[in-house]
Parts: sequence; C-alpha cells; structure tokens
Amino acid sequence: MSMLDRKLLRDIGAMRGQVLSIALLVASGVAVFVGSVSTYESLSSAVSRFYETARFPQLFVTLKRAPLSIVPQLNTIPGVATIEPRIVREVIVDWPATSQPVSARMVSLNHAGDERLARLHLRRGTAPEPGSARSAAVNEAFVEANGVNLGHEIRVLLNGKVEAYHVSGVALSPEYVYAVKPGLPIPDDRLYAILWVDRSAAEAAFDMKAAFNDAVVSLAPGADPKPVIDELDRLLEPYGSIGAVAQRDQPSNRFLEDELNQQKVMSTTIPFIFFGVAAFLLNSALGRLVSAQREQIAALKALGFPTSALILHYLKLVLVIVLIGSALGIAAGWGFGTAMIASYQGFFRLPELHFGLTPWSAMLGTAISLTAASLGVLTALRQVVGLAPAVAMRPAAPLGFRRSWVEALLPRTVARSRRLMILRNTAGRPFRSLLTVAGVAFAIPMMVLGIFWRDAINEMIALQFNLVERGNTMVTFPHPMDRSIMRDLAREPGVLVVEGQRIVPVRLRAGQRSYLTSVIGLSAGDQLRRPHDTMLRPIAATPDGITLTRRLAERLDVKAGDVIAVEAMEGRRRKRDLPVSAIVDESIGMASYMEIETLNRFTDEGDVVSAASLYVDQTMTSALVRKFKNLPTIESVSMKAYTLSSFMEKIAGLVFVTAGILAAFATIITVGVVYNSARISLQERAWELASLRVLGFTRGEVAGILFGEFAIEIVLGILIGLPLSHAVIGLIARFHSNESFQIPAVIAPQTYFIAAAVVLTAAAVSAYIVKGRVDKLDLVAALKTRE
Amino acid sequence: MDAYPPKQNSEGLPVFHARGLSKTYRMGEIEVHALRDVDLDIFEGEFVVLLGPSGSGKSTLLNILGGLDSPTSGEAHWRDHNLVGATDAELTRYRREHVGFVFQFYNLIPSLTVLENVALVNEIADKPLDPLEVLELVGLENRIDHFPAQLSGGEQQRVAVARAIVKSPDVLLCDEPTGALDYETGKVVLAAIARANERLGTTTIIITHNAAIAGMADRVLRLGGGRIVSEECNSHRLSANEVHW
Ligand SMILES: Nc1ncnc2c1ncn2[C@@H]1O[C@H](COP(=O)(O)OP(=O)(O)O)[C@@H](O)[C@H]1O
Ligand SMILES: [Mg+2]
Repeated sequence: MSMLDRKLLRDIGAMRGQVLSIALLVASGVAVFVGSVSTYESLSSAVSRFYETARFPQLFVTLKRAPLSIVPQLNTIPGVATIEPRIVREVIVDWPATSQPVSARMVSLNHAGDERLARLHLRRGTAPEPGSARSAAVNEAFVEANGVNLGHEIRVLLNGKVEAYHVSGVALSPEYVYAVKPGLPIPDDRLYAILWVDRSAAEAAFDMKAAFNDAVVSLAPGADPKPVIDELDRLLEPYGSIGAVAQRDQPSNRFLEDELNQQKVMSTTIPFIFFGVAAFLLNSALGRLVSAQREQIAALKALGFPTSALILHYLKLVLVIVLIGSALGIAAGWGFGTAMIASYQGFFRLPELHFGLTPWSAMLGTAISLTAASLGVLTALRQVVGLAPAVAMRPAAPLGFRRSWVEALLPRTVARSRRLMILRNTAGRPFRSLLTVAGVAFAIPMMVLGIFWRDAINEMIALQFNLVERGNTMVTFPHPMDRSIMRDLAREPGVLVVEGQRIVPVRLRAGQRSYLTSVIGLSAGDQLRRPHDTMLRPIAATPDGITLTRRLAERLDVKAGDVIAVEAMEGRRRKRDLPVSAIVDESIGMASYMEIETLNRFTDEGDVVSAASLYVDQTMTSALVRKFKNLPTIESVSMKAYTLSSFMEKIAGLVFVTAGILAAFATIITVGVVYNSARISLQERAWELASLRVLGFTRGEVAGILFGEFAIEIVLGILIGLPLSHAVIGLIARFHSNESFQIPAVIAPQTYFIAAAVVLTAAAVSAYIVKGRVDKLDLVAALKTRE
Repeated sequence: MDAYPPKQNSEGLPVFHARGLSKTYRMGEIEVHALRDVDLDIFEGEFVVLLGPSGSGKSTLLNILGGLDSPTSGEAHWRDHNLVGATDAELTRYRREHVGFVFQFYNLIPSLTVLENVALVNEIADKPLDPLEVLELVGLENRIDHFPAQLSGGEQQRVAVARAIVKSPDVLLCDEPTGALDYETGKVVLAAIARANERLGTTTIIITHNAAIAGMADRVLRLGGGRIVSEECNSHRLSANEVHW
C-alpha cells in the first residue's frame, strides 16, 4: 500500500463521524432518486404490460341502446381496428352484511372473459361461459374488501326483483385498475363491485336482446383518434350516445396517469435538493480537510509528488464516501420503493405490481453524487494546489475579522465580548454559515412536505364536504322524476332537509377544446350544495349562464364572460351557447352548475329532478338507507362520511410512508449540516476555545460560544425555511393537483411547529454529540503551540 | 528533603503549599519524570522567578499550580483549595476567581479587539478593574480598537498581560511570556508584569530566561531534571523602575 493510501485510511478513520454523515446525505439523495424512479418504472411497466396483454381499448363509447346490427358499419370507420359492443349498467346489490348501500356495475362478456378488447385477467376461477345465465366474475378489490369466495352468491336488484349470481371467478380488468363509482370522486371497494356476466345474462336482465349500450374501440396503428371520435359520435347520436372519450378521460386510466405523473415529478425534483446539499457539504468538509493539510500538501509537492497524484488522493476519499453513501442509498431506495409499491397495491389492481430496482437509476444516482462530490473537492483543492510550496508551507493567514454593521445596531449593553465573538465568527465565515442556514432551510420544507398532506386533505374535505356539498346522503333516480318526489322524500323519518338536483351529462366546447362532464342544476335557495367563488364566498347559480369549476375552466381555457357551447348528451340532445357566469373553487372533480329551471328549459323536460341531496339525522341514517335500498325509484344511495373514512384509511398508508421517509431525510440533512459544521468549527477553534477554558470559562460557557454561532444559523435557517416551505408546497400542490383532485397549498400552524421542532431537535442532538468533544479539550496542549 | 520556604518575608501562612509533587508521563516502555517529589511554599504577594533548562519541569509545575494539570502523586493547595483531585468544575472556578495567566503564545481571541479581549475576562470576574486603565498600565491605550492580527508580538503579549491582571487576580502565572519576543520587546512586557505585581500586590510566579528580572524577584528557584535544585532570595528587592535592564 502506498503511503498516500495509508494516509487516506487514517484520515477516514479520524473523520469517521463526518464521513458517515456526508455519506448519509449522499445516501438520502440516492435513496429518493432510486426509490422514486424505480417506483415509477415498476408502476408504469406494470400498467403498460397489463394494458398490452389485456388489450386496453383506445376509445370508450356510452349510449342508450343500439342494435348489434350496426356494429359492422362502425367497423368500417377509417382508423377503427376492433369494436367490442357490450351491455353495461349500474345496479344495486342486496348486501345485508353492511348497512351502507352497495352498488355494482354489470358488464357483459362476449367471449367468456377472453374479450377482443378489455380482456379479463382471472385471479381465481373462471369467467362466465357463453350461455351461463347465473354466474358472474367479480373484481378482486370488492372480493377482498368483503371476504367473498368462489361459489358465493351476489344478489342484484333488477327491475324490483332480486336475482342471484354465483361467483365463478375473481378478475382484474384494465378498465378498472382503479374502480370508482361514477359520480363519486373516490373509490370505495367495500361498496362498489364490478360484475362480469355473459352477454345472454345481461340481455335478459336489461331487456337488451341483440342490442348494446356501450362499446370499446381499438384503433389501427397510427390512427388519429379525433376523426374517429367525431365519426362515432355522428353515427351513434341517434342511439343516445353521450359521446366517445379517449383514454385520457377513461376514469381509471386518468387517475393512473395522474399518479404516474406525480411519481415522475417527485423522482426528478426532490433528489436534486439532496445532491445539492451533499455537494455543498462535501465541498466545505473536504475544503477544511484540505486547508488543514495544506502544509502537508505543500511538503508532498516539495518532495516531488506531482499535482495529479495529490488530486487523485483526494478523489479517492470522495470515492470512498460516495460509494458508502450510494450502497446505503440503494438499499434504502429499495426499501422505500417496496413500501411505496406495497401501498399502491391497495389502490391499483394490477396483475403484476412488484417492486423492481431500475438499474440505471442506481448507476445514475451514484454518478451524480460522484460528480457533485468531486466538484466539491476539486474547487477546494484548486486553492491549495495552486500555491507555491513555499507559500503553502506557511500557515494560512488568519481570518480578517472586522466589526460588522450588525454590531452597530446592537444596544451597547448587548455588545458583550462573547456575543461579539459569536457574531463575528458567523460573519467571518459567511460561506460556512450559509451552508448551515441553507441546510436547515431545506430541511424544513422536507419535513413540511412529509406532513402537509394531512392538512391538504383536511382542507380539501372541508372545502368540498363542509362548504360545497353539505348534505350527508345523496340519492340518484334511474331517470328524471317529477319534483313531487321531493315531498315523498321529505316525509321519510329522519330527513331534515332535502333538495332536488338535476344532473345532465353534457359536452362542453370552447374553440378546439371540449370536455364531457355533468352539469348540476340547482335552485336559487339551495343550502346543501353551494358552489363557492374563488374567494370562498357562496354564490348561487345564475339563470342566464353556466358556472364552471376552476379546473374545468382551465381545461377549456375560458374565463368568466366567455361563451361556450353546451350540448346535452341525453334526451333531445339540445345544443346552446351559454356565457360562463362564474368560476368556482372545488377540490374534487370538474363539475359545472346551472340554475335548475334554466337547465330544465334547455333540456325541455319540465320541472324534473334526477338526484337529491339530503341532510339526515345521524341516528336515523342506517334505517333510512336500508329502506332506500329496496325502493325501485332510487337508483343509488351514497353516504359521504362512510366513503370518506374508507378513502382516508387507504391513503393513510401512502401518506405515512412518504412522511416517514421525508422526515428521515430532513433529519439527515440537519444532522449532516450541523454536525459537520460544528466539527469543523471545533477543529478550527480548538485552540481559541481551550484558551478560554484556561481563562476560567466553564465547559458550558465555551460550548455556548461555539454553539451560539449555530443557534443563530439554525434560527435563521428555520426562519427562511418556513416561507420556503410555503413556496415548495405551493409548487408541489400545483404538480400534484390533477383533474380528480385539486390539492390546496395549505399548511396548518402545527405542521410548521412540528417541522421546526424536529429540525431543532436534530440540530440539538448533533450539537450535543460535538459538545462531548468540547468537554475534552486539551488545555495544556493549547498553550504549547501557536494556533 | 528541604522545603523552600522564603527566608526573609516568611510572615504568615503560605498561599501555595505543595508537598511531594511528582508528574510522570508514560509513553510505552519509557517513563518521563517531568516532576520529581517537589515541595514548595509561596507566600502572599511574593514575586517568584522559575529558571531552568528546557524540559526541566517548569511548565508542568506552573500548570499544576494554575489548576490546568494534575500531578501523578503529591499534594498541592492554594489557600483552602485542594488543587489535586479537584473536579474540572472546581478547578475552573479556581482559575476563574483567583488566577491570571500569561503564556508564550499570548492566546488572544482573534475575533475580538484589544479592548474586547480584556473586557471578556471581566464578564466572569467578581472585582474587575477598568479595562482602559489596565491597558494604559501596559501602554496600549492607543490601540484598543485593533484586532490581535493587527498587533506586533510584543503588543499582543502586553494585551495578554492586561487581560490577566484586569480581574485583579490573587495569583499571576506567566510561562515564558517573552519566549516569542526579541530581547528589547521582552523587557517592556516584563516591566508591565513587574509593575502589576508592585501596584496590585499580586502573588506572581514567572518562568523566564531574562536574568535581569531576577533582580526584582523575592526569590529565584532553579529547576533541573524535575527537581528544585537551588533557591536564591533577594534581601533587597528592586522595584521595576530600579531594575537595570
Ligand atoms: N504530554 C506530554 N507527554 C510526554 N511528555 C511530556 C508531556 N508534557 C511534558 N512532557 C515532558 O515533561 C518534561 C517537562 O516538561 P515541561 O514542564 O514542559 O518543561 P519546561 O517547561 O521546563 O521546558 C519534558 O521532558 C517533557 O518532554
Ligand atoms: Mg515550558
């Protein structure tokens, strides 16, 4: 072993605390990078593999009823490759095990599950064979949530009669990776099932002999979906088509895409904060080491060692640190990714969702860390290696301390010598002080990012379910009903308030942009559904226009006052141009509102309602829901609180993993920065601090002088970190908001408090570790040598 | 074994009282005896000079008396303070309340100005003097706003002297205060120390190679090989002004 390598090993041994804390910082960057890139790759490859093998369609059409005989005609549309016509209906499930209403979507199969498009992936059992009238395959999520087994019966309400289906298989479908009931913003696997039955069974159940009301379409390679959609809409309009949609607007796929995009953003932003801080720290720690060794370096140079050998020597040190860090980081990234994928498994039903480490991410992460660290050490070396040996062999010039302008601001009594020492040392090494401040300032948003989700979700729920949707129970009717039904509902026991709504599927167009959604018709004095403007003031739907949620207005690229084309997708399918009367803020979904009378005039249907929002006495809800379940006039019942709680449980896992990881990283940044700076400071100032001890200053007072500097920097870092968190959260909320959810950028005061407290604790613990060394300062040694 | 009590002004009890002080450094097989069985008494207001070749144990003795180091065996007291076996906190308090130090390398705080370096000690002293007056005593009244890096070695050492005496310590311990200075500059520093002893009556122990100062000492102790090998007492102690430098 060469002497330089021996020196390298001794240096590493002597600086093991610093080496470890910098390695941990590198590890954090590599872990987030490897973990999130691999999570993204695992998720997205699981999705594309499933979409490919299960032949996920490109277009989705919903209509009222069309004869199967027109399918050959649809097949001739240029660009269409395959069409699979189906019968799809929402049904109520008789499920005595829960007091909540359970509903299902029944989907017909043409080929026993081996469909030409949207093929089933069977987990267990088989899909219903052609001709089998009483068996069904059920989606895995419902089966797991309710403990259903093969051979069990599922009883469905069809035209007032209960029909039982035997569970023949448990299946996954690319259309229902994320199965959410239409009209609900969030999934509830306990209360919503997908039932696949044979075409013959569906024909009998819904009286759809030789007819279809739903079709999925695949396109010829390279075909443009837009003209195909237009042609499908034109041909199917007489059959009550509400319009074909592309993959982007298929609910399950949209949610998946949004989640994948978030994962991608996370994997390309957050790791670089860590890489940046690690490079910064490496520069300062190694810079200190290099200047402490400047006399040695000069001596080595004078002995004839070439500069390249010295550079290589320090690069080896970097290599050791980065390799330790990367190895730890890859292992941690593996754990992080595995935990993320495990919590995604509850959300997304994919046949093969496993965590796989993406090799290039590990290599790239290591390479980025190595580059950042090498740059750090090279800049530090440049200053020393560039000196003539004779100059370098003399000790470095002392720091030029000056009175700083801050002192002039201090009252005379405050300007005590010890405080001045602290102040001048902070100002005298601005780069290092900046490092500590920056490290702490970055740790705070990291911490806030981990825990702000709770605030954001609370705020989302508060906005959507306390301000906008204030009823606790929602019912829908199978078809528009005369308003008189409201009186019947109001008479039900426990119903305190009931308000009728008219919900009409519409296609909104503005220029080239169009969007398929629903318009909700409200009455002027409605209390249970109250849109709020962007200032969160309740506003009523105006009689002469349409009110859009902000996200919808953005998608259509319109603002209040612009005129958009509204086309009703049912009934007589009228079209009308309406001005946008207001933009409202909602956190879930992309709805639009109209005044109910205007809406009914528009659809030309008289005074009708298609849904009702109810406020029901809490103690009476179960009984009422049980009753509603058996009423043929009621298509579905949903209860807000129940759905919300199940959703919260589901995301809790995901939020918890993220919060834990980010909190760990915030701690690593803080400890890394504070511990390193304190060690470096102590090393540089040991002589001065020992002199103070000789003068009679106690261990505590001397530690106070050393750490006073850090106290200032940490407090400054926290002060910068809090508003920085606000900015970071603003960005993250923007990135993470999608068409399903609008994440509000709110941070509760206690979140700030927790973040600051954790960072302070981490800083205090780092200081405490270094304090042990302050206590052991060698007083006699300080007197023997000159600094 | 003879103790070395002062021969003339031995009225009252000694302030420093040491018996059988030994200090041994063990480095592997080799034992270095820095001090061997030293007995010593020093009285209130005495001005004692320690002489001896390098390595003879002078600093070790001074450091033990200053509460910076502890002997391997033996006992040492300053008044009723036991300097052997005391805790770090007790020794810190002893230094803080009673001892002023001046060292070869000044040990000034680089981030503080001259005045602030002196005022620093006042923050932890009970009966401090006015820093400006003390700086005048060492002849630095015109340099109070300079940082140590802006002063010459002799000036820095005079700041160290001012810092040591500003808290009016009971004991002033100086370890080769002129070691890093040229002869002429050294004289100015020594004069400052001597004046302080005279003016304030501080018990002073000084390690120096400057023979001239021996004239104003009450006693001169000579060390060799870790022992006190000789002692001279001045029957007539010269004042700082009378010393012929
Ligand atoms: N930390 C130490 N380790 C080993 N030997 C030491 C140590 N400190 C002092 N010595 C030895 O003790 C002896 C006395 O030292 P010192 O009191 O500093 O001498 P002086 O001040 O008279 O020059 C010397 O031989 C010195 O080498
Ligand atoms: Mg010495």
